[in-house]
Amino acid sequence: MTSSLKILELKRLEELLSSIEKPGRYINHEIGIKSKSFKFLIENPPAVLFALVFPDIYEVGMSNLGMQILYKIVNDYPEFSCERVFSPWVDFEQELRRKNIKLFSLENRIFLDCFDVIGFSAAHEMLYTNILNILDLSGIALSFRDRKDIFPLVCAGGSAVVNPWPLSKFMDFMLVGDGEQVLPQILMIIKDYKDGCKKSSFASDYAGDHAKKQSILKRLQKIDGVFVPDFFKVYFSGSGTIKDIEPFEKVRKAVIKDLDSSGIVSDPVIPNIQVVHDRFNVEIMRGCSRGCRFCQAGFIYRPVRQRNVDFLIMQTIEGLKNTGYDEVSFTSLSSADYKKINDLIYSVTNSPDFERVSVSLPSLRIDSFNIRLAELIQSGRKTGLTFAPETGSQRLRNIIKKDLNQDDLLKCMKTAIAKGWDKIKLYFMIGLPCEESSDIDSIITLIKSIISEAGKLMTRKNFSRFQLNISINSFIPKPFTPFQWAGQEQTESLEKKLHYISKNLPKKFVKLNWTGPDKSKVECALSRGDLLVSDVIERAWKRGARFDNWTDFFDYNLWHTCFKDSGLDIDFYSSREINEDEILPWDIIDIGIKKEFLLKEYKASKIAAEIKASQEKKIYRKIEMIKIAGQKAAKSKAAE
Amino acid sequence: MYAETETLRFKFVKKNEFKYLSHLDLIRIISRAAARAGLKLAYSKGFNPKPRMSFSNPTPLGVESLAEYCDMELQGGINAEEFMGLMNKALPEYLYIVKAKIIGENVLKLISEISLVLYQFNLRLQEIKNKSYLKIKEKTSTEDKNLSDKNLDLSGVKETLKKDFENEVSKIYEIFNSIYNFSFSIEEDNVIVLKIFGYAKIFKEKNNLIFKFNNFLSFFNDFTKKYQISIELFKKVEMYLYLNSADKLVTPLDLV
Repeated sequence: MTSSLKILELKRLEELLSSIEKPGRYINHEIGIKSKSFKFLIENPPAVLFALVFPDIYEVGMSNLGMQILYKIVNDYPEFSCERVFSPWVDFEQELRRKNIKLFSLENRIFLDCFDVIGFSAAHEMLYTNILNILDLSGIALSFRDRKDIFPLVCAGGSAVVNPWPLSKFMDFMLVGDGEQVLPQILMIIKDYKDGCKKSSFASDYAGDHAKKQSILKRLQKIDGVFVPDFFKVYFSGSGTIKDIEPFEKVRKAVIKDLDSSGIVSDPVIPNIQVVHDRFNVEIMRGCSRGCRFCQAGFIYRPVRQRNVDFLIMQTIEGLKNTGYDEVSFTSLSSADYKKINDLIYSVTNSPDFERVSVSLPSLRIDSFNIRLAELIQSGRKTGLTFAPETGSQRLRNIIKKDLNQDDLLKCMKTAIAKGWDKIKLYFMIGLPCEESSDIDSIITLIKSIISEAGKLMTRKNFSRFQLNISINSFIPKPFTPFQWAGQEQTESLEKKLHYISKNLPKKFVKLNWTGPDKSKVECALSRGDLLVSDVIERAWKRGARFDNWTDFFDYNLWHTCFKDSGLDIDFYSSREINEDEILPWDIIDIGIKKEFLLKEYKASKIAAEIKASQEKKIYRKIEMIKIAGQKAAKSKAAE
Repeated sequence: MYAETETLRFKFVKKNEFKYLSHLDLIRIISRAAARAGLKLAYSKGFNPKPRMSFSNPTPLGVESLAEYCDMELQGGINAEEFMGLMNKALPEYLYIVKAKIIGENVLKLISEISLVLYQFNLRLQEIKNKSYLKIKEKTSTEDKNLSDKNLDLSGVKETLKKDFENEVSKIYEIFNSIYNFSFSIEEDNVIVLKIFGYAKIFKEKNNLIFKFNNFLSFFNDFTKKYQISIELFKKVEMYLYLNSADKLVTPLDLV
């Protein structure tokens, strides 16, 4: 607690930095720091100290918009101070362990065990082991049951805790949903406890630490989105499925109704070193209305909320001035769906305040409209376009409800090529439900036909520079999607498909890369995991697993053994087709979408699968004919 | 677009934790600070316009520097004081400009053919009772055994160090050939200051080597261990350009 704040002296930090790569990751004094000074913390002891931890390296964590948002919101309160923590890279970890130095925060270099609350931002499942590693490096017991002191309270939020169970063994509480409103509420309750006022709602002074901690957690549990693992009991059946969760009281996801209730972060922390997304990031919209059946983000971030365009323009311009960045990224799950995207881009790029501002829109959907949009933002140099057809065939695209028509896709490619883009990136998935070998062939056919169109449209000199970057991922059935019941395809079969594609793709013009199916398998098993998977994660960490998202570090055999040694079968969590009437571990969370709706969607995908490829062509010919007839009718009407 | 431009040469300092930032980091931080300060940088032409800035030779990671130089081309007129004020407000704590001047067109480029870098090492004699130190002591001067921190005969130590350093340095070709000059001097209690002029750029005619600071540091670390001396701090103090016409060394700002 603040009365016994311990910090690492600068001199000792320098000793650590002398022999490691990129020491700039571990130094503070960036522009935009918002945490309170050390002096303030000493002079105001009841202040609540919050460590916001991103369990990946600085360069990745500082590219995460959520970090900037929460950092600002907490530090805006005079009674709280939030400091950032990132995963030390392996060389730094080695130095810390060798010199027996505990992990500390970036700003004031306060040791983590001196904080009141430690909050992890779990962006994806492959960061779980890093979370355990950070707790261990901080000298904090991993399991919440082993933590006898009241503080620090350890919690986690982010999209990898919508199914809270895999991390449940390690967390005092978890936070599902938007953190902006509930995180300050949580810290306020902790402040109340520390202040000693409003004592009546907590355990009495004479109670033991355990009872006191429980009384805090009971208060926290009343807040939307707060899940306290200790307050639930899980009963398993003989086959390993869940028989019951007690009490079966769903935890409702925290949602902020109006994004404009707090502004964008227009004075973010500006990293001193180059980070992954080194630009001014602006969230324009949260949620996505498209409902692609494979996409977890599309379901868990609902409902769709758009920011007001006038505020956005004003705040973006202000932010660019504050930061000195010359690139702004308008982020959301599908930025072209933002109603006033054109106004926004036009107003910012044509602002008299700047001579040159470039705009980037991640996650652009393709259609002719977006080519125009892409042109607007990439005037001059055409750096590259990214599209996500997901599959090669219209049939499979219908099954996964990817709202993209094969003809539009090709037309769009042609336009892009004709307009001068010579580098195009395409995302595909394999192992989707109801996938047939013909669907794999159609990925190859699609790529080949794009190349042949490029050959026709480009001059010989330009064509020689043409490049298609193809990225292929294995499908992962994730919680809270209509495919959550589907079994993941086996690694061997996925690898065969990948090799088949790689063998049959033209070597010229194509650069192919993929994520290993075995990595996707572990990600799947972790994301659909239950309480027992906590043990697997702990075991894997003990055997040295960390940075599992980095191909150099990922070790499938290690994970496979850890599942086995915990008495579990990894395939039970990954490749098993789940029964529709099973209680799912994540049923305890109310994500805002009814399970019946997801099931209905799952069934709808199966109906879509019944349309055979041969029929598909006929249907499309019919649709095309209806379209032409319609156009003719409209024309004749106009002529009249 | 084609407005008049003006080039400023400024000297800046990177101190404390900021010595752990790379040269590329500094370039990024400075151009962003200029944007925050509301200065309009001149850009190169072409498809991928870049701000027109050039920097002096990089300082090795982990070394404080009192003398980094940058030439920055700005659109429109500004005086040097105003520029310094605006930039220092926009720069982070441990990075600041100490001097700035507007330069004309024919001034020697920052990375010109010949330049020298001056590094300073403050060496502290660790313990008075230290044996290896006493050996030096005996060789050099008094027999007085009741020494204290205050009345150390540093000059004797200095001479021994200097000789031995010269001797050691001459054994290693790469290091010997990359050092232009060095000096030992005494500053306050127990601190000996070593100043080294290293070649930062190749003398083409003489085929000298670039001063590789990190190589030197590891060599020097071994040397200081022998004498139980700790390197209290080291920093880049100044850099010089060789002025052919006058046959003398000048700082980049002296030229202006």
